Amino acid sequence: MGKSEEKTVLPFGEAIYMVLHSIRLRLGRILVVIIAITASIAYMVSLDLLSRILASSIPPNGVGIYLFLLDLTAFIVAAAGTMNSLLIMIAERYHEIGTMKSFGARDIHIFELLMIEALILTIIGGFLGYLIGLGIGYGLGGSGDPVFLLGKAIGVAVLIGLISASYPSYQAARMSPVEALRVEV
Amino acid sequence: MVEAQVKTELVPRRRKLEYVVEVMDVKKYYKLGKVIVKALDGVSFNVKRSEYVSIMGPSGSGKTTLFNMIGGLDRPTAGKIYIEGVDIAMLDAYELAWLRANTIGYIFQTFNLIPVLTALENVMLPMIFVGKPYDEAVEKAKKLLELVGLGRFIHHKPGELSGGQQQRVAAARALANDPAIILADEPTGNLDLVTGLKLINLLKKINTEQKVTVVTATHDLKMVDVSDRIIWIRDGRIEKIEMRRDIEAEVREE
Ligand SMILES: Nc1ncnc2c1ncn2[C@@H]1O[C@H](COP(=O)(O)OP(=O)(O)OP(=O)(O)O)[C@@H](O)[C@H]1O
Ligand SMILES: [Mg+2]
Repeated sequence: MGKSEEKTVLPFGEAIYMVLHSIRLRLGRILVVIIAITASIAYMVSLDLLSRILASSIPPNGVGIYLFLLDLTAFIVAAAGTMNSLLIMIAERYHEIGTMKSFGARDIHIFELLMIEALILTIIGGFLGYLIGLGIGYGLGGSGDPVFLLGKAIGVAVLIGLISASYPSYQAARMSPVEALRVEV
Repeated sequence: MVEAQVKTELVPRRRKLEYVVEVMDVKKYYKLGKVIVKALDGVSFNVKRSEYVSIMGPSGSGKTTLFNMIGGLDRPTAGKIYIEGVDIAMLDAYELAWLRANTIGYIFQTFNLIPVLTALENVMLPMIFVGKPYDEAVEKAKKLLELVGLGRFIHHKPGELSGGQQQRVAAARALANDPAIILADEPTGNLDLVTGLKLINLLKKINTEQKVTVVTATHDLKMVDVSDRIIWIRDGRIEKIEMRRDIEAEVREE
């Protein structure tokens, strides 16, 4: 027992399977997370497209600041929405985390599972948010570079997602099985 | 200096291996505000290889807490636990995970099945963690589910199974990696008489045929019949330890 080359594993394919499976089966709950990310990103993309129109009524010397503030609020809304959703997603997993750790999962496996899930959710949310934001923005007569916005939408969603999921995932991953099993959500 | 270190490292591994589990003066205190709850207050006992030991005690006496300590799921406040001669407090994260996956098979009081996975997938989980090839894991999981009488329910999720069926899935999962020790926390708590008896007999069969050590916590007096020893605990302390043959003798006298 306990020879150092004996270590528990979680093959990558299996991890992906588990995450996709979990997303598919929890679609109801997950949808809430995706919608929150989508809405946050749609808000950002549409504001980006409409910023020039919105800024047109502002005195010319304030335009720079105004555009910057618009950008900033859009970013903060997107970040807060994404972060909040992922925190909920992780909190709902404590029981499973405790179970998996009881049967050999190591901290890194749990971290991996949670981060893969965060990545998938933010990519989906970012892309949907981009489409909706684009629709709203163009619908209201805005203008902008759609390719740049696609990159920005998914980039912001994924980046914020990974950053905000990493700390709670890390914390969840290093809990003892008993601690994790005891958490009531 | 170096030599001394090596020695202290080696000593625990050389402990007499007739005992698979050694619990030495284990304490677990919880602080709730200003009150200290002594869930375990100095418990010591040993379990021999392929022994069947039942831990009996009223609700709140510390059975689950003791299980968590023996199983390496939680750390005691004080005291030591040796599993197969190894002080589990000395294990690193890799070794601890390996112990949980391989050496010990848990049956939890609350089942702790993963709700989105089917019975089959739940049983496969510990096998995936030890790197067993997928097809072999499927075959083994099917066999185990048949063994616990759930051959027809392998694709059901826990939510689609009764409490007793879930408990049996949990039992099958505990056997997944052929553990040396099965830790079963009230394994018959949710079962009717017949199903409960079946599970007890299954544990006994594995115990005698495969020499697996079984430690169970229970209120169930049916468990007495198959146990080699019964450890009675109350308020986090051992009240008495009885051999079954003594109990049987008592019964005969009466
Ligand atoms: N995390 C915790 N924090 C505080 N007290 C705890 C904690 N876990 C257990 N306890 C206390 O420790 C004592 C023993 O609990 P334990 O769950 O081990 O009992 P048990 O013998 O398994 O009971 P049951 O038969 O009802 O399952 C109880 O008084 C319980 O309230
Ligand atoms: Mg208990």
